[in-house]
Amino acid sequence: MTTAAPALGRRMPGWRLPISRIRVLQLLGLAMFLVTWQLLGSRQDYLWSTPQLVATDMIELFAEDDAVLLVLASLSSLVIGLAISVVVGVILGTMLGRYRWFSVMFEPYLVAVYSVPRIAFVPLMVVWFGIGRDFVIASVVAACTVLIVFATAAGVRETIHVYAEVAKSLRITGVQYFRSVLIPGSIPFIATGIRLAVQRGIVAVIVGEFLVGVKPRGIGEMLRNARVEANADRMFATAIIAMLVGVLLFLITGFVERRFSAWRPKVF
Amino acid sequence: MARLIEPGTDAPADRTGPLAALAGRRGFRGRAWNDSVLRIGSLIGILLAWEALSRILRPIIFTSPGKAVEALRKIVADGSLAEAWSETLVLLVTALSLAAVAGVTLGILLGRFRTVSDLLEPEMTALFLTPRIALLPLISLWFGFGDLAKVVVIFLFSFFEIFFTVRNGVRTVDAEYVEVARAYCIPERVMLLKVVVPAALPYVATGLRLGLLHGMVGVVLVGFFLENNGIGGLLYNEAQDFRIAGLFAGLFTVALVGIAMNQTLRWLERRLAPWRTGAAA
Repeated sequence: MTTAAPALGRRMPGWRLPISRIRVLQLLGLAMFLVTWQLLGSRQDYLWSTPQLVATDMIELFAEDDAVLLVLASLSSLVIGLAISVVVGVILGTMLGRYRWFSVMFEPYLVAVYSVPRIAFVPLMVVWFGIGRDFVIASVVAACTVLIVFATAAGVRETIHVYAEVAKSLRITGVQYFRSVLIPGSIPFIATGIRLAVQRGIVAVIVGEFLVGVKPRGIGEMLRNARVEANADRMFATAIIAMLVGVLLFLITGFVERRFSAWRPKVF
Repeated sequence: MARLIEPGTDAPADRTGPLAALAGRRGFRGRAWNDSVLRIGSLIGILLAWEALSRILRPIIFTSPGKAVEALRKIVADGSLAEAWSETLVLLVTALSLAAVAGVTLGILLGRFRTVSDLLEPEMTALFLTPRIALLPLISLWFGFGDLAKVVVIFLFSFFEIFFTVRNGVRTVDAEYVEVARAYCIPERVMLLKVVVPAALPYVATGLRLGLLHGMVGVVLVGFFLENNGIGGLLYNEAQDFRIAGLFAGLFTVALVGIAMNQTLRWLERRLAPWRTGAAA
């Protein structure tokens, strides 16, 4: 042994467990959960399914059915709806943050919209948009726009608070004030708003497809069929796919948000 | 959620707005007066736009403010509104009490005892991130279409909000107070009741508010999807029969209840934790 003893308080290299204690516990918990489910579920697998059956069904979904296409169809509805929400939301949010009279006039209504469960509007939206893809896109817009409006308004207010004086002394006014001060200053806030909106938007897509059944099929449609067939394996498989899509979006948007707000101290 | 984008806070005074000069000259009372003029103006504007739209669009897809008020009066008078809401409120109160008890207890315990929490973490997070609607078919498979299934759905909608808010709250509190308490050699059992629980109280209030808001979504949803009664069922039936005015009236009551609940619980939150200015939404 030629290496010197490691200094007190420092971990000896090579002696560390390859994974942390928390990971071990989490994997253990997951294994326990799966084993319990397998044992209990196999008594009445038409009702409770089992991990094995769900896994088989999921492989089937991807291999034989067009699960990837369904996910992409749902995601494309999300992207279109989100694009509309961002445009509308940023415009309204900038107005709200910049002009006090605008916020005095319309903020109470926007807060009201925020507090109302949007699902209640589904019947009305079916009447307005039919049961096609328009409905799904409209429900994404309904779910996401308010979040982006408030995020943008908060960003613009914060930017005014910090930069209004500097902009004034540099004689930045009019369109330039919006273009080079307010919008760039509020981008981190808008990014946060978009992250929250994506989370809510994907739920809106699935709910929309599930409730009204849309022609270009999506994840929600898959769920709808599973329900009609009372196929527990398929329901679990779909729920897990929906979850994976949600997690994936969560990670991607989190990464993008960090990219866009690198200079800003973490406030929430 | 984000502290800075929680809506409902008043707009900060913007000294560069077009009304700033006016407001400055007239002082505070002038400004308040101005605001109410603006608010009344926007209300009248919205009502006029609504009326105008109802004249342009076909009555099958849109209705006028007058007809909506009339429909509201009708469903109030024949008792169908009261019946729907009483069914809904019974379900909501049952499910929410269960979710509150389970969520707060588990939140405090798992916030305090990390080992158990780490063990259950993946399942909890997975369930939280799964759109709750994806579980709806499974729930109706297991519990049918009646009140039991409805309570389960509403429970699932509100439980996770309460649980995660309380758990994160307990963890935040932990580091600060527990060390002090340890320094005074307070035993673990006493610590839980005398230190952790009181300190977590504001988070409980926030969790309950979020749980209630999400529970409202569940309440409406079960009316669409399971047995069509309650307020969700009322909306569903009005829409099925293309009674748009009735649908508007029903939506109005949902909005009113949602706003009232949100405001009441916000107020409660501020009472419980006056030192926290709108954190952890």
